[in-house]
Amino acid sequence: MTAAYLFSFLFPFLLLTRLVQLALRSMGQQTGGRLRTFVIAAASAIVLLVPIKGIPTARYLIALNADFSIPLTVILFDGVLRHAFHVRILNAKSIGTSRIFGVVAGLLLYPAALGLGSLDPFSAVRVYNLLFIVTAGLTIFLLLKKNRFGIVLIACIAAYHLHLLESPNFWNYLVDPFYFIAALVGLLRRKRPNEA
Amino acid sequence: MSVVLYGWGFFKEKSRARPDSFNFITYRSGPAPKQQRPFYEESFITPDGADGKKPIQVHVASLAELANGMLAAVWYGGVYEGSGDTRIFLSTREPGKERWSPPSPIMGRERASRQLGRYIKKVGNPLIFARENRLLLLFVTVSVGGWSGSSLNIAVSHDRGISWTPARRLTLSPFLNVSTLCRNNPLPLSNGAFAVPIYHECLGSFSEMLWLTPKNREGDVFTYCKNRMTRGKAYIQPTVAALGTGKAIVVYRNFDDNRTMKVAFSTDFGQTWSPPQATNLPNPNSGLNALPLSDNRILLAFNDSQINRENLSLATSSSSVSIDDSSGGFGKTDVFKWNRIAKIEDHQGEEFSYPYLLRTQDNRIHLVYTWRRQRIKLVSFNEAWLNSKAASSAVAPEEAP
Repeated sequence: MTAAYLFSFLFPFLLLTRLVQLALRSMGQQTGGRLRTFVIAAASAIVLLVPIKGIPTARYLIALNADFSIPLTVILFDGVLRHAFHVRILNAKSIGTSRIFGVVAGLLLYPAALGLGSLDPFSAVRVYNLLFIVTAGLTIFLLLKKNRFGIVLIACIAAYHLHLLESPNFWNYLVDPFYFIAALVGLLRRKRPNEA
Repeated sequence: MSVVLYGWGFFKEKSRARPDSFNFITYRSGPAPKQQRPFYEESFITPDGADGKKPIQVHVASLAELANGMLAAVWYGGVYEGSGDTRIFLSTREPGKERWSPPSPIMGRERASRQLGRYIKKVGNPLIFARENRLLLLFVTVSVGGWSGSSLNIAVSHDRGISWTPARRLTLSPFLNVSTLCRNNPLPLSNGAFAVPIYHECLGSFSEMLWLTPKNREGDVFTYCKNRMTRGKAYIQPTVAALGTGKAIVVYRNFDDNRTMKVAFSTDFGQTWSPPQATNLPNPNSGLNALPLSDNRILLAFNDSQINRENLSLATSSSSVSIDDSSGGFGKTDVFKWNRIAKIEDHQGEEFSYPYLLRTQDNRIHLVYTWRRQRIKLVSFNEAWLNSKAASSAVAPEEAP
């Protein structure tokens, strides 16, 4: 059982826990506190470990996407913590940075990877090597600015070295299609606060 | 700490053996064609269904030869293309024997689900190749949607196909890792690696080269990377023929409006490829396969039609292919005119498709293909037979459009 296999349960767990929290809040129920959080988390874990046709339920989400990016995982974790213990990992500034990062990374990667043009940043050696340098520079800049998203980027490179995702490509640690869409929606909603 | 982590990642990638450091292994010399007697033989790999078992559709066969001369063929079969009951079958033939072993299922959706730890809807497009006494199998799985939702996986056998290592997923696209498929012959490299022509078929349709490098002694764990061969929406299922030090020619399945086969070349070990150029041969948006001959002509198996797969033919380039280092082009070689050599199949209303060529150690050339979607057929011949057909052929080279 590899590290990537075990780590693959984290995102579905966080997602289900967050969805349960949102569902309870929509029913007027409280979601904070240790006991409630433990019950919600335990119930989520049990559901996700139940096998269907020999495959744990959590792994059915992996069939759709095996590599949920580290920033999206951290954002989801931040949401769970916020509603469970009123603790924030990411402040407003770092959330804003994460949205910009997700959109920029997605725009740089996906159109080209899907065939627009002849340069594929996912695999072109020079671009790929440059990715480490650019992300390192961005990390240092964000840390100097005391922006917590810099720590998220450190988590990305650490996860890459620990092979926590199925992919050996650093791009997958930085961005995924769901993160890109969520970041885009977040940026667009932020720009239109007064629309009904 | 972040500088250390990023620096480590940067240098780890930089230090990885680059594919362009290693040469393609090209044609092995043997008895010259002039010294051979023409040989031609037809047979079927799959049974004819007369045993009363439920007939299934079969498709996308490939062939490999182990170091001891054993041949191994794989294909997929099911009630219909892409059905949930589709499995990948293997059949082998020992050296010196005429009969193939009964088809044995080696991969299906249930087994792929268990090994990959996720839901698999269907399997397909098996590609078998060999290195010494190892058999390697690349195959496609789909979890969601149709063939555009394909992902590539690899398994290895050390015992001639009896058992296989658990399938491993290859991550080749950042967008949900979908739409990557394989079809045609990998090229062995001098460092033990393989250059596998693959293709992407989703919003765009383009060809890529996958570089598979074994990273353990057993040769069943791989590092991999890829590079783009074409852009756009028309070139898939590349078939590559290595011509010499760092040089190769590729022929593409092409489904643009022209419906003609297109070729391109590389002079840098497959790192970059010229833009595709039209030939005088048609392509009805169907699979094709190329193989270099002993004199560096290229042998092509293809459907000689712009509209259907009712015939299967062989053609050769009009002359030996040489790639000019100085101009970076084909030089005096005209790869845009091909000579039709032989018609292997021709029957109205039937399908003969997805040819796959392999040269074996005894210098014979084997062609496997889908025969009417009912059986996998094998045609074996040698260059002496090809040359005799070329000499007796009344078809003159046609002008390029």
